Amino acid sequence: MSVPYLRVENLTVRLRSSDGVVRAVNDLSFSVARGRTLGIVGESGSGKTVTGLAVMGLHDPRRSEIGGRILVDGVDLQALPEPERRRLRGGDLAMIFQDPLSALHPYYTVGRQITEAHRVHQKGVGRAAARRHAIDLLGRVGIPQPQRRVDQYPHEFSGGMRQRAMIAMALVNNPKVLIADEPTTALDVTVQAQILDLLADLQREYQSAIIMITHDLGVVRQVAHDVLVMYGGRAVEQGSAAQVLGDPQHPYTWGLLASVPTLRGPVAGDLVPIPGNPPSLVHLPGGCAFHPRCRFADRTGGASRERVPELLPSGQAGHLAACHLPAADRRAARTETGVSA
Amino acid sequence: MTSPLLKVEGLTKEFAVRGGPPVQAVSGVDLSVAPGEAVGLVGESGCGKTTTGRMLVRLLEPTAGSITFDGRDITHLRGRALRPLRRDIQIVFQDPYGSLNPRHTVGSIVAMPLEVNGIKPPGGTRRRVQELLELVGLNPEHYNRYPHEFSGGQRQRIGIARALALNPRLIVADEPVSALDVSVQAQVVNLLRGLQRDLGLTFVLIAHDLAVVRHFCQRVAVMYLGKVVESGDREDIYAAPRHPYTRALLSAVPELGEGGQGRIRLTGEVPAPTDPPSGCRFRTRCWKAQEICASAEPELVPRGGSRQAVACHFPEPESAHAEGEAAHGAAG
Amino acid sequence: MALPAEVDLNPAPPPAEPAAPVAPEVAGRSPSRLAWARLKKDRVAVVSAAVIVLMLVIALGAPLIEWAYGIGPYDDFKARLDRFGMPLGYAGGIDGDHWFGVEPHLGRDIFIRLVYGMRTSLLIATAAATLTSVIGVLVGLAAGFLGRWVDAILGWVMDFALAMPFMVFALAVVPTVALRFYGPRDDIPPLFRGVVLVGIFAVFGWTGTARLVRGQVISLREREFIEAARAAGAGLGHMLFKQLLPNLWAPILISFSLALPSYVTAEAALSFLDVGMVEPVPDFGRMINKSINYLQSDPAYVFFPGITIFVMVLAFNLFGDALRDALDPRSSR
Repeated sequence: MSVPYLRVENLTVRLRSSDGVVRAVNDLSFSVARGRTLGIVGESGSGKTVTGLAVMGLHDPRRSEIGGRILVDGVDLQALPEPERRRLRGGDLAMIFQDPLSALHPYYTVGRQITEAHRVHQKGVGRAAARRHAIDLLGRVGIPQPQRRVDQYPHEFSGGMRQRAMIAMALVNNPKVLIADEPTTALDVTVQAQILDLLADLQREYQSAIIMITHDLGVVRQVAHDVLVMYGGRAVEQGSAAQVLGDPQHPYTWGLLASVPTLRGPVAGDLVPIPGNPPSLVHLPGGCAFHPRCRFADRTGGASRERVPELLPSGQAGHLAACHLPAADRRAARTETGVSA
Repeated sequence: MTSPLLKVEGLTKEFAVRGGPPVQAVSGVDLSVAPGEAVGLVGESGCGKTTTGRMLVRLLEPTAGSITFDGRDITHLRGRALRPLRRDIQIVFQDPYGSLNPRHTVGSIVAMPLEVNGIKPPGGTRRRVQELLELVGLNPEHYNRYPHEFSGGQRQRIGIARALALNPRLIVADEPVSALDVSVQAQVVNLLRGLQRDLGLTFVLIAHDLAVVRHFCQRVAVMYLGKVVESGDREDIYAAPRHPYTRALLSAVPELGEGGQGRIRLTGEVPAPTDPPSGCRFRTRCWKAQEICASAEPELVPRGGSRQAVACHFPEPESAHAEGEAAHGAAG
Repeated sequence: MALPAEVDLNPAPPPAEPAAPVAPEVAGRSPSRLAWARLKKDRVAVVSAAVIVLMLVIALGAPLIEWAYGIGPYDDFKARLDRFGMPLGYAGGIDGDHWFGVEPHLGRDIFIRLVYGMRTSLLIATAAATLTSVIGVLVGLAAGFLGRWVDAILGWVMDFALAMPFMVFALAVVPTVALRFYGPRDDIPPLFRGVVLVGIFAVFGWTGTARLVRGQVISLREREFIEAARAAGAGLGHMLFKQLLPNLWAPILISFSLALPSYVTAEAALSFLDVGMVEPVPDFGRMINKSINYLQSDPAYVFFPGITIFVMVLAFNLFGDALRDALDPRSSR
């Protein structure tokens, strides 16, 4: 395996809100190598978006407290002064958001926004050269007639086109790390397929390290090399895509896999939902955050109520899971949920 | 076949646009729903499925075409005549936040349909509301709580309880689970399945998620740019889609399992409904398009003797059912 | 506002799903109760509310205060004036009998006149704010919900009302109306004066509330709960008063609480300009008007009504702002 380009070690994020302190991310570690994609999977309030924003350094320092280390190519971002971090942001580090309208300025043309992002980070690039580059990029992300489109405003683009324009803007400085936060959730499936293919092509070309944040296991299955499953602000399971999706070790991952309706297989029976709702990050359940929804919680001898389970190797090498359920009982338990290996 | 509970023919809706020609959001939709059946209306944004749903519950006035409910033409009912129909056809909305009045208690939200229709249920309104809450899996004690105290999934249950209050025969559910978390989606899909089974309710499910539709609906109609391009039984549509668009749609869904029917990538985007393509509306993105597709509009008719109707000049060959079953077996 | 009598404060989690993830410690509270809780935590709100309550008590209890104080608003104390008509003693004649001194020339007690002046002022302001809110809400509801030609006509009327200059209108209309009902020599009863004032405020004041309500209704109209009510067969009355109105209490209360102080000052201004209340009715504007002549010789005379009206308006405005923050916490962030 190649050397990790982005390393996050023991990341902890606390946010202040009117309801109290949001313990959004707790002790999260992961790494992504260039040319690889890490899929971060979780439901609303699992802390996955907060993680992406923390890596970008986009949290308001007055309202947030960030612990741990975020290393890009060996440099700890947390230790960098803000001007240097800003230089990285939009340069080596780029982010794609779910809602392109929030990232694109409504009163500037798409082309101007792309060239500006380009020229801010690369001094000495002329106006004309930057424009040529913008047109080239728009063409590459699949926008037809880029020469004409470059002078249009975001509202003149359709949803899928805006998403492409935002991707073009994120790619303008050949970022080495690309964080995509639900980039296709608001899009139709046929457009989603186009965007996912586009990201894969661009990754091959630029060798970027991609973090794909999503709730859709199908998307993860399609694009991710490695998978991190988050629940209640913590990693509950981590490993290669084949390990996590093919030989899942955590009851939450089982629950997710069993509750997703599929295009194949029998439809006679009901789906198997996870009972209850995702927890609030302000009032996390004690012990294992998943225990109130876990059907195996009472098989841990009370441990799941008392202690937060450690993320320990389980299954094959490199596969981690945080569960009190004894490893020997897991296979049998998983069979009960109807998830096959 | 029994006579359909709902029959829609040539349903069309035009929206006036300031300083331009009217936009046809729905152009001639045909649909028939048998009693006790769940029919899925699928398609991507802008295909007209939501507008169709709003016309079925008569929140929008159709521009042309007819809606027949239980043998009665209800297309242009107004005012007092519409009232009894309102009891028979109800709607469940997408947004669990916007569809409940934030200033009303759950009790008064669920009782609202009874109140506006002046219905006094035997045993009292409160009892009836608590029965309904129990039916959708909520604690009847929560009668006096406000919507903001519930999670998205619970709110969607409240919306379903409200739709059930008048004992409707048909429920139009417009993207009822698309705003919910994955693990909660399944709870609501199961609830709807249970209601269909236990109360014999008839459903029209409007959704963009093909997998959800597959788990809930016995029959499926696929829409593209204001028209139904293919309709048929679930087994046929998913195992052997005959319209190129249906095929492309199915193959675009990122799946958990291995394999799939070869990847088809559509290029470009849905054309603007202000200026739909001539002939077949899908031809601008279709890899099979030929001259006839631009000149003649294909009719939605069963082709090759099956019940599966497809509006295409060059439909995919009909595959034997056995083949579809084999595919199931391989993936499962 | 109608609040549910039974609120389940200690709920057992439902069997299928545990309690909602949103802030379990406030479970069982209506939106109004949450706002009330926020308001109670706001120190500015509590202090300004206390000042407002004190002023209301003073205004309502004016006759009681008169009884305890032993002096009426129309009693004169010419003996307390010197031969130039100026109050004897220091600072406008302040002493144990006349807490705020006496008026120059007329010799009436300033304290009790302020107490009654507050009554006049609050009565007119409250009546005007209530009337304008009712008109504004009805017009806003109709324009916002019905749209089309109703909205067009009401919008035109609104623009017309906004285009008329308030002061010029008031200066021209009040004497004309008074002349229409009473002869030039007749005494015009204070009640009639008050009604005319409230009427003028109503003509001009409803537009703000109406615009606010109309805007809110237009955004609420698109919400799915309105469609749900329509799909259930609800009529217009149910839509407007059962579905929409409960969601409008916040903006209505805020605009009401911010309108009150503006009517207090407007009423004082009109009285100052001789088109509001007239002698001998105690009134803030009249008092300031008369005291201006004595700005140098008896500064205490202008001080007391001036400071009272200042505190009153400030308290109402601060409370209005605090109310807005409590009802709509997002706006303050």
